[in-house]
Amino acid sequence: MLSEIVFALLVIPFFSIILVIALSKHKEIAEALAILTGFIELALAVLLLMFYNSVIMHEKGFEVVKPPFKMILSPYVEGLTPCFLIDLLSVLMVFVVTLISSMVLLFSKGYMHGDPRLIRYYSFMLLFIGGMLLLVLSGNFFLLYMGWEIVGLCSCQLIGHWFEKPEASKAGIKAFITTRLGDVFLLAGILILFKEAGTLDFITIASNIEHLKGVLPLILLLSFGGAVGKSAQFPLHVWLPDAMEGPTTVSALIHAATMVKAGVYLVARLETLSIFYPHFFGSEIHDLTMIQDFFITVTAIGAFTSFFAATMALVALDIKRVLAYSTLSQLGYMFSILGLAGFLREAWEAWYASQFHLINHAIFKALLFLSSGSVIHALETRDMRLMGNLRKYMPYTFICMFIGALSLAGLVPFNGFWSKDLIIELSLKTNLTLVSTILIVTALLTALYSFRMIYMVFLAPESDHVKRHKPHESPPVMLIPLFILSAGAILSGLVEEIFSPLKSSLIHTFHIHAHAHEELMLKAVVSLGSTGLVILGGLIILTVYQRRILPPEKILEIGAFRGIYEVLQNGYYFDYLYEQVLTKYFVIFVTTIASAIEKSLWAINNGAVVLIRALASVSWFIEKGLELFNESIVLSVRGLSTLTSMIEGLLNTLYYGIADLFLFIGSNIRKTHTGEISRYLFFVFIGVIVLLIASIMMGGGI
Amino acid sequence: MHLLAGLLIPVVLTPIIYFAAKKRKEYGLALLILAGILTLTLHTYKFAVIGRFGRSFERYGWISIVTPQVTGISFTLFIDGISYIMILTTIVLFICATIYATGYIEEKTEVHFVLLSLLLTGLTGVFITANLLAFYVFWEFMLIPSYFIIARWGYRDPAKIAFMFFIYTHVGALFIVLGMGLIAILTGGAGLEIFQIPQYFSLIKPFWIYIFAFLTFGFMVKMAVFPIHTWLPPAHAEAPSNMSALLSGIIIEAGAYAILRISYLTILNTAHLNGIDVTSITYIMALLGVLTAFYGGFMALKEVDVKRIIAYSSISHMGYILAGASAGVFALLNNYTLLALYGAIFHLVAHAWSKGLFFLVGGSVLHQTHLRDIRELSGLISKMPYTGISGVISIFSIAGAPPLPCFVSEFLMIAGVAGIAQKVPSFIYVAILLAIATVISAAYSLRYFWQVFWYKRRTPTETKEANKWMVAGMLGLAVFIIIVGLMPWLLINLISF
Repeated sequence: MLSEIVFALLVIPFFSIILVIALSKHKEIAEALAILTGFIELALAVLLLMFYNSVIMHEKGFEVVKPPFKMILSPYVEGLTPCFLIDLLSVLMVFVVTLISSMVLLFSKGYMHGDPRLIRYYSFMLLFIGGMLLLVLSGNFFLLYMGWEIVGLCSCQLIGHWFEKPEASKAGIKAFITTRLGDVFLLAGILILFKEAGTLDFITIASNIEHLKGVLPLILLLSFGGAVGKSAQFPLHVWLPDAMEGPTTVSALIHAATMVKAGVYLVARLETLSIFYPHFFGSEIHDLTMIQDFFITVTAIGAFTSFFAATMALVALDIKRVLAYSTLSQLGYMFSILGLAGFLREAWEAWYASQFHLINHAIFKALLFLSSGSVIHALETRDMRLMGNLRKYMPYTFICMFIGALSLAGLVPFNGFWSKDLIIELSLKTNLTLVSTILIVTALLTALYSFRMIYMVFLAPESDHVKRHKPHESPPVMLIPLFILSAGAILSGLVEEIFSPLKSSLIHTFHIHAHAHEELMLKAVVSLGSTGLVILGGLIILTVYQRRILPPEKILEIGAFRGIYEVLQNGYYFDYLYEQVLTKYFVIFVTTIASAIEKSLWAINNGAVVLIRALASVSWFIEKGLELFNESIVLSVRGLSTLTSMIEGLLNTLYYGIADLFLFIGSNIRKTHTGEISRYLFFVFIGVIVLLIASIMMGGGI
Repeated sequence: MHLLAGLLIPVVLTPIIYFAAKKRKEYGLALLILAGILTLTLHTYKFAVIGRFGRSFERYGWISIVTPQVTGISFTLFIDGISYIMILTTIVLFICATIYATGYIEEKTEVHFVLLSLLLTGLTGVFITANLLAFYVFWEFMLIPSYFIIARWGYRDPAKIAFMFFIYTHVGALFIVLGMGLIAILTGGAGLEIFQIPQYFSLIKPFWIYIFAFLTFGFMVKMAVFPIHTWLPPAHAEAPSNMSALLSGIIIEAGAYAILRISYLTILNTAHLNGIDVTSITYIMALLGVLTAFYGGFMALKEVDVKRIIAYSSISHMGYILAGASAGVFALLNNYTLLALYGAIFHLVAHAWSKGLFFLVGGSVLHQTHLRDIRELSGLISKMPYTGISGVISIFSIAGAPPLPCFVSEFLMIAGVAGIAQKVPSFIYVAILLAIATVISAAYSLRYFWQVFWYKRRTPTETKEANKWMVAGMLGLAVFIIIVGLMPWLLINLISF
């Protein structure tokens, strides 16, 4: 029975997505199907709650459910076998998620009417519901982290639903990356846990918590880093105000009631695993001081964020930003009380208070967001200066939003009162005066910004925008969820009967006996005091805005206030710091290094090319030289042979010439041999004369 | 016979594909799909017969037919879980990329198809050959069609880029030859059988570290691990996009597969069994993987080119795989948790499909707008809805968002490394560094998504949706990605060692 319910809860949204996409031609049917899915899930959640109340609560208080079919990742790994943990925490979260999501889906029918991308919208909404249920139902850190990332993806896509607006698309990306930064801490925590415990299974970890003592503080702190990102606590809060660029229904579901609670859920879950459940296995940590650092960090960040965000909510002019800052602030309350668990005699009381406030906040904040959605739908603006006197035009929305605001401010019968009072009361029980002071001051600020918002939207003089627009009341499909949530906001705190199972099962689950000596005096003082604070807040707003005894413009004329106002309007310049300084310079720094390396690698690459070219040229030269050498040899041989042949010719000429000469001479001399005596005698005569002359000329020695 | 038939079908069909595609490109596409499906069916049948933990061999005479005096080298094919997963990944991506190419490649489609068909044989062959020499033949064979496809259909200066791609991977192949040569010298041909290396290990023991180093270096060039990755960005960015998808999805992953199968599961495993301490080797390789993961991520953050970003992202993801596989093998050798190895192998599938789709999307943007700088693109998701949807799926998968597959594989790898740290504490740093690297993945991929698909500039990009073939290819792959992301155990359960 139990495993079927759990499995149906998890699987139905995914099947519904497939059907919605398949029916994308028939938008109305797809829409109806998506809304129906929301209500089926709610019915299943109620069934689960009833099952828990009637069965599990009376046994151990928790139950591990294995999926009905095999989806084992690997036979070697124990810790990753998918399983689901059904206990008070998960059952309540499932109830909150399905309740708010069914209301929001119904509201969407009116609010998103005529949107061109309805199929996309409903697919991601359903995926979100599936992911959120996976997150809260999972029985090990693997599925928890998977759900955690699925909701991150849906958050990014849904914030950017109207991506034509540059702010919307940028906010979506910013949300994803900022939360991913936190997720790394969570992942590191999970990794160290896996390293130490060898498993990611919740119950196995709880039963072995003694052996993890040494690293438990580190694991808890790292995981809290994930919670800081997801729940937008200081210093990773910057994405949530920007996330208001998404459709208001998305803000109501994801950025107010459910996803941002995932961080609170995680810390609460870690506390159950490290403090409460180990009782069952006899391995509890008796000395909480060793994880004191964790508790102090959680409290400090929670309390600081609650104050810090409330101050920004005081001056915000965008109705949704007021609510977003208020969400941050209220989440801060939840964290601070979760942290205080380490300082109270009864840790479970703090745990109870945080969950009580979580549920109440989910209801009244969803109510506030949906009411603001109704206003935005009518006026098509989010700027509160362009509103005013809407009480006349939208009476039902006014009543609903007023109920939500009173609940947020913490006035007496509304649900916010009960849980916030419990938190302040518990904080006073510890000796951390600073924390309780911050929480009390924040309670006043909360009343101030809630009433300021109500005044500016519904009671202030009618603005020109309103006059031009002539707003009218939203259709019933949007009002019905508002009425249901208003009823919830009144009843869930008043009829504590609804939560009596919570309390009794807590006592049952954790085997702790509530101490009888309730400090009635403290309770009375806190209740009266906080009611006084709310009334004081209302009076201040009335003096400043209605009676105009000290109108806001006057206040701003004072220099110091002007400065503070500027700082607050700019969100303490955190956006500037992150985007213009840290991110920018970090990215520039690392990418410069990387591209320098890349360039040098390319230089090496090109150097190799140059080297090869150079080698090629050298060998070309050598080749050319060799060629030249070769040619010169050839040439010289040729020259030599020419020379030889010339010499040969010369010699030939010479030899033949001499021969010819002698022949010539011979042939000429031969002519003189005529045989005539007289001729011979003539020659003898001439010869004698020549000799005579010669001897006379040479010295005449005769 | 099934494996050999599966291997040869694409080659045999090549001439028919040519003439069919010349008549009408749809016919060619149909034949290519048929070839892919037939191959896959044959392999599936074989794998189904042997079952998850089996390994089936087919042995054929090869060189010895021609030269009988050479013995011991045979043409051995095999299939087991890891090979089957790679074949499945290849063929799914191949078919989708080819459908895409039908609309994307505008000229000489028939020649393109023929080259793709040859490429399919090369890709399949790498994953199913059990002989190093035969493996090497297919390893080199994949290069040839790739070279021509890049050189003929590429973008800027394709001939030069293709040449560089060829030379780089060829230098890598040279080292593989050196390693193979050492094995062959030391053991004779018989040692080239991958699954018989353990028996011959005593012969190669004195030189095993050289063999390991040569082979691994050769594979790492293909895998594009820092600092020998420089061939990858230009080749991936300038190739036609369907080829980029195959390059990034299969070809560089073949390097990862070879490191896993040959360097790690065979050589390192045997060395470990022979009493050699391999802890430091695996640790250094894991750190090299982490370095690559960061380096690629930072470069992707720096780039503005619509395809080079994806290319650097591939380098980064190869780093994840190297780190996961190295740590995982260390765990396997010491009987620690196998999560990291499962994660690394599953990441081969997840990354192949996600990055393949990412390249198809990038190619579609480039094809339709003719713009390359992401700072000039604007609000494309409303102009190109189907490309946009595919972009959402692929980009968020790369960013590591569930229910998309890269989330599962990255988580398994990172958690697996942390699980190893239980025994060897220094591995926790690898795990945490890898976890931090996922932020960078998210940063560059979302930057891309925002700049290209969401952000509206003053001068909006005028463009139309890609044609029906490209859309069909992208959406088909997207469906596979979602299925495997929602039900990762379908594939993870096939892995065995």
